[in-house]
Amino acid sequence: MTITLDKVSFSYSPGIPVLRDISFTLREGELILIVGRNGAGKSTLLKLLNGILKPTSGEISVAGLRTAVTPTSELAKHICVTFQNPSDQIFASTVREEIEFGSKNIGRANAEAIVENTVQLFGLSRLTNKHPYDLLPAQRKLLTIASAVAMETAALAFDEPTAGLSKDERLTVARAFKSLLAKRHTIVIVSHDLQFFLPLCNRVFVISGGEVKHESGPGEFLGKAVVLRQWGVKFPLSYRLQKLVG
Amino acid sequence: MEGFMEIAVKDLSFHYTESSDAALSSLTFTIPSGSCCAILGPTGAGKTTLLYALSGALGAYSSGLGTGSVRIGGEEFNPFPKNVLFPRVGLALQEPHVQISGLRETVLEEIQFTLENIGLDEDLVESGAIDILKQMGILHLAERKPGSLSGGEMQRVALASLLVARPPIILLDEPVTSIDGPGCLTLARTIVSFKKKSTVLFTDTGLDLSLSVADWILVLTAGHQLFFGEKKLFLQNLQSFSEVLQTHTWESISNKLLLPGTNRQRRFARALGIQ
Repeated sequence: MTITLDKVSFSYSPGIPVLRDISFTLREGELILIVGRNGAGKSTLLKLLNGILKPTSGEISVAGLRTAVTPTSELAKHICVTFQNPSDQIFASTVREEIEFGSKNIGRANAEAIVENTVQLFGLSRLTNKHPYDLLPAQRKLLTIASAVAMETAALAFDEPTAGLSKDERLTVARAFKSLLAKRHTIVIVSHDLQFFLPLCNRVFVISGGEVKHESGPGEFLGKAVVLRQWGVKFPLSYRLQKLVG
Repeated sequence: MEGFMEIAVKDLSFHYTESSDAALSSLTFTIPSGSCCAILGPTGAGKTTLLYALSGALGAYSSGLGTGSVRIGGEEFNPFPKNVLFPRVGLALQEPHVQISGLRETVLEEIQFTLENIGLDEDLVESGAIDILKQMGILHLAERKPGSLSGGEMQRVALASLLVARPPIILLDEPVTSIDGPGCLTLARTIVSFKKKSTVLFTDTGLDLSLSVADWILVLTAGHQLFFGEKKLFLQNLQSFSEVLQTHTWESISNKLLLPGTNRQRRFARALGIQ
């Protein structure tokens, strides 16, 4: 399954473009990392992918479906977008129901088994009967990722999925993403967490001023620290020091 | 004024309910006036609960059971303050959208709202708000609607709306989760500029901000105090924290910085307190 963006522009208010003339193709089984300053339009781009927002001009196609004219309920069978703030998307009254909801909603035949696997994969067994709002913020974040993974859509997009997660939860998320990639799912990540995602990703896109300023594999990206700085990309202190001490 | 901003915690324990495990268990540490302490630990370690206890939010809004004592700026509380101590103690919450009042039309007005609430003279309100926006590198957001901000922008505005009050004690709950690289650097510089005038405590799930700006490190796990001490001591014992924190990257860095190296490496080592 591929996702294609062809000269996509978007404005919230007329005359003030948030994204300008963006074109790229995401291939099956790859993980794409999108980086850029706060307010660069990264989260807006994700909302365009699942049709919540429609391009002001240009075209986005997901699994051959044009997002501008396809109902979001139809697009949801192919792509699942997880927002930055867990509270924006949690509404079931138990953890299990929350994980089940999306999967059942898009009519997955073996939803029960998928949900059980996901609960195990994310180590949420102890919490299945709890109300999502009784969870700690990091657990709630993990729950939203688990709910998306359980939908088993061909493409999944996540906005800052590792924000606020500690060591063990990060390991869980890395395991889940690796398992999705092994099954040829396409993953789109918006994140500032270069330390976590550079080793996992196939390509990195840098967005600044609403445009894609840089696109490369992670190796080339790492070698361009000085150029990337102008677009708000700053490598973590540990990365910079590692380079310094060899 | 000696000890005005000191935080002394003695044998502090807390249970959210009678039957629940201790969220905080016999914590004892003292953070000297005008220094900065990072609180590290896995999810559920008690990091946020501790900040809530010190801010007065836990005493005001939770009916849990606490023992021990907290001394803030020479005033003793048993076990911790019963009322929110703002503006003496300022707490920035982990979820910034909760912190934004939603009552004001623009970011500038949102920041001014804090100063109006603490009764600052009208003519100082606007200049105070503009100063903090400049310092945090977000003056360009001044005319934006708070509700239209991106996640990272909102986190920076929420922090500015607290810091503008210049509380003598500043508590920040995971202040950099959504902030971009340059924004983190600006926040690190802001925290450093607040030291001496304020005592700063913050929780962190990574180590970058902690090792850049903190003088003291507190490591919690399941409510227990695994470590409290100066950053140098923490760095010398990184290996003992690898079970609960992601310290492995830093272990190799700090080991190499301990060896004789270039001037630049020595400068970094000194800045991190390794040498």
